[in-house]
Amino acid sequence: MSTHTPHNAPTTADDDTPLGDVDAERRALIVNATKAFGLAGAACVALPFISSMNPSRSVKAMATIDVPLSEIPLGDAKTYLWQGKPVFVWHRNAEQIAAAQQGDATATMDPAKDADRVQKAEWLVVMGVCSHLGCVPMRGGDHGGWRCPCHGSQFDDSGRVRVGPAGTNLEVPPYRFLDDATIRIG
Amino acid sequence: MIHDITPIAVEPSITANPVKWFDDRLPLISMVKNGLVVYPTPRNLNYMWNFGSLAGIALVLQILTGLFLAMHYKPDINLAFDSVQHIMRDVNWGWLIRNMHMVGASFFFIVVYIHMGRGLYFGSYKSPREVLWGIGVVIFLLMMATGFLGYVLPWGQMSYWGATVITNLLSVIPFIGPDIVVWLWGGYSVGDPTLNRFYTLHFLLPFVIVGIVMLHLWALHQHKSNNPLGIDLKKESDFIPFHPYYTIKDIFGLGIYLIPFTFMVFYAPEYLGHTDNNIPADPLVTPAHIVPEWYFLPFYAILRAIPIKELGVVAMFGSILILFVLPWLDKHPVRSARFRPIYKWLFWAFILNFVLLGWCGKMPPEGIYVVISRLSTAFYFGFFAVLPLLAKYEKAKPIPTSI
Amino acid sequence: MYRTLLAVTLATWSLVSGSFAAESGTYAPQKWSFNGLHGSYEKNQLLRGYTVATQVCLACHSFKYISHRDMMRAGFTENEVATLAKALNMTLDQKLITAQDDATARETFGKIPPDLSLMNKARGGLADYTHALLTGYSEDPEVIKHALPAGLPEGAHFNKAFPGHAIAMPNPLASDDLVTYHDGTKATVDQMSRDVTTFMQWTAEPERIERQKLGLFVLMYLVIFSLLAYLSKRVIWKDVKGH
Repeated sequence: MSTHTPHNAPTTADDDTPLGDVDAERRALIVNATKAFGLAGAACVALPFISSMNPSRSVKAMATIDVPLSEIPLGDAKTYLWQGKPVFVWHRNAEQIAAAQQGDATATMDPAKDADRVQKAEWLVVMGVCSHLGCVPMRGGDHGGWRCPCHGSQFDDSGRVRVGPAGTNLEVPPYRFLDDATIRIG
Repeated sequence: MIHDITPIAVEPSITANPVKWFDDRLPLISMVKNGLVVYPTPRNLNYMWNFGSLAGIALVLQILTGLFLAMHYKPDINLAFDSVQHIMRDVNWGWLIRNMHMVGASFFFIVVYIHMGRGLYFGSYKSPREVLWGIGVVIFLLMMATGFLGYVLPWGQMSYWGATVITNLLSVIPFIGPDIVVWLWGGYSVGDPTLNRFYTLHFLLPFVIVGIVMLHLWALHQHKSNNPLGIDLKKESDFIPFHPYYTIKDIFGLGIYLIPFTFMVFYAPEYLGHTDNNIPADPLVTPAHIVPEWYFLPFYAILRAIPIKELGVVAMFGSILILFVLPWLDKHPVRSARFRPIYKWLFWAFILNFVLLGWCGKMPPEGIYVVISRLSTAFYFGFFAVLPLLAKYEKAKPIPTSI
Repeated sequence: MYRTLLAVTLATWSLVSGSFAAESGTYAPQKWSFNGLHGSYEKNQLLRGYTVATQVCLACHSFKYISHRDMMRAGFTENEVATLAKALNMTLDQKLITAQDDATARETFGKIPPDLSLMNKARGGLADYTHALLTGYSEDPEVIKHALPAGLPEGAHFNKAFPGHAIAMPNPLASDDLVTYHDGTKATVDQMSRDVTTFMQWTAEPERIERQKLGLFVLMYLVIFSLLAYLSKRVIWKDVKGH
């Protein structure tokens, strides 16, 4: 501890001059910069590969469908394929609309107003994908709408869930009326 | 024979030292460490020794890009061409991945040719590395097969007619040749069954190559790398650990390699290809000039140089197979061409002649080109014929005893 | 050794570039906006080319890999392409397929006109060839006799750029003003040919501009990376004897 080292005595340790330290620091900096720069580059290379598995332009081009409403008779629903999944378009008659609106009070599992689920009361557009595990529900059940063949969930005249195991209503896809006779889904 | 069965001391606790615990049970970490970290490497290797690791990286890149292309490609004669256009136009970054795969194939061959040339110059094929060299030739053959199969997949005109011409070569096999060709096609011409099986094999072979590359490395590690002096290194100070010295050198080499590679990928992706391959395959129309991919051209030239069909095919395959016996043709005790004044010049003449053969392969088979092709082919085989004589009579320069 | 290596490399390069260039050497090289590291497409020229392609070429040829929506990749807005598509009674995603059926085509020309999407990449000479072909027609009997002493086969047309000089396609750009350009450019034969060739280059390589732009960044990255790696290599190898 008390040993006094003369200022210019040769050091025994590796090359412990201050200059050597700076040099070692600089070396470490260069090597680390190379590592960081290289890793960042490698990460960027991964992006196009990951992205290539996302929907391609041609898949995206088929992302919308136009449905001519004239082909759906009053009171009936038809099924259309949109993005590989079924969409139900139901031309509801006055009786069905009334039932759906009355259901606003009794649909307690996932409460929603029928008026909020349709753009025009006579046209109900919902995904034909059961909110439980993705099966396609069939017309039927005790609530006027659909019943899922897989696990027995039931949906009403507005596509609201009434009997489980499904916990949420049939989803309403994005759509708009191009004119009175056509809707575009997507 | 009973091996040493003394139990090894093993780390008992998985929680105290999980790494050692695992390594004592499966020495995976030790293997990587011995092979890539502490592995003793001659300290005097020059940049020509970069091409081995570059070839490995090129192979990995081909497999990676190929895998992602395979997710979008359809091996059906009615869909193949369109699916390639789908990759080029619709798939996100599909053009980048395909260009990397196309250019990557060419660059893989460039790297491997240089790698082989280095072995030839520095005598890396000589004892005790004959098996290492032989495995390398097997890899080269598998690469050629894979490259050929891959070129068929886009189902363009050159794909179709290249496949037709090359598969027809097998018809020269006596007696069973024509049957073999039909068997290979799965029909009476190159068609849908052919494309489907070529795709399967093109997918499979790279993984076979990976396996054989493992053997190549195993054989390499048995006797360590050769070096520019071609002498056996005995002193410990002649070696340095692979990491960090050769890892960083290889990474630097990779950076340099990727510059021309990238340039081709982004600015001239189809420069080394054929415009004819942008025309869908048509069995009714043959393109005016059928030319294989550039990396086959020297061997294609040998095929065409010989006027008898059967002999041409034999010469073509022989020109590659002769590499297997190279260690026994050249038994000169000195490895490196640096100390062999005659072999050195012969080597460069061989390389130039090889390039010339490639050029002949691209030219139409007529007039002066036929003459050059024949002389060039004669020189190619002459080189191998002279080696035993050189081994006997060539006087080497004095050889250093250490680095 | 390195000097020899350099010499061999140069010799190789001259042989390689010579033989590859030979393929495209026969057509007069033109100045194209899309060539070079900074190449790009001029939107007005693309639209002019599109006009020629749809009003002239599309009568017999298809562009089966191209839809109007694809043109949004070349800088057109959705409204612009929607207007163009509507004028042709097409949807945005419909491919540009000719109305001519195969039987009629065979009867008229003896063969089905090839798809044009990839044409600029499918012939030696590339874009220069397309332009040379479109402007290479001649009806001068002297010229024809000189090139084809045996005479022109029946039903064929003389074209000095076409291999064999006898082409089944009648001159598609036989006179000026076949189309009216949106930007008032005078539609000379040469102008129409350049415009449609540029459009065809885009249909052949819709990714080209993205490719060329990205490439510059990747190259810059690699140069910096290689430099860093080289410095690291020197630093790490500093203590190795003989280096």
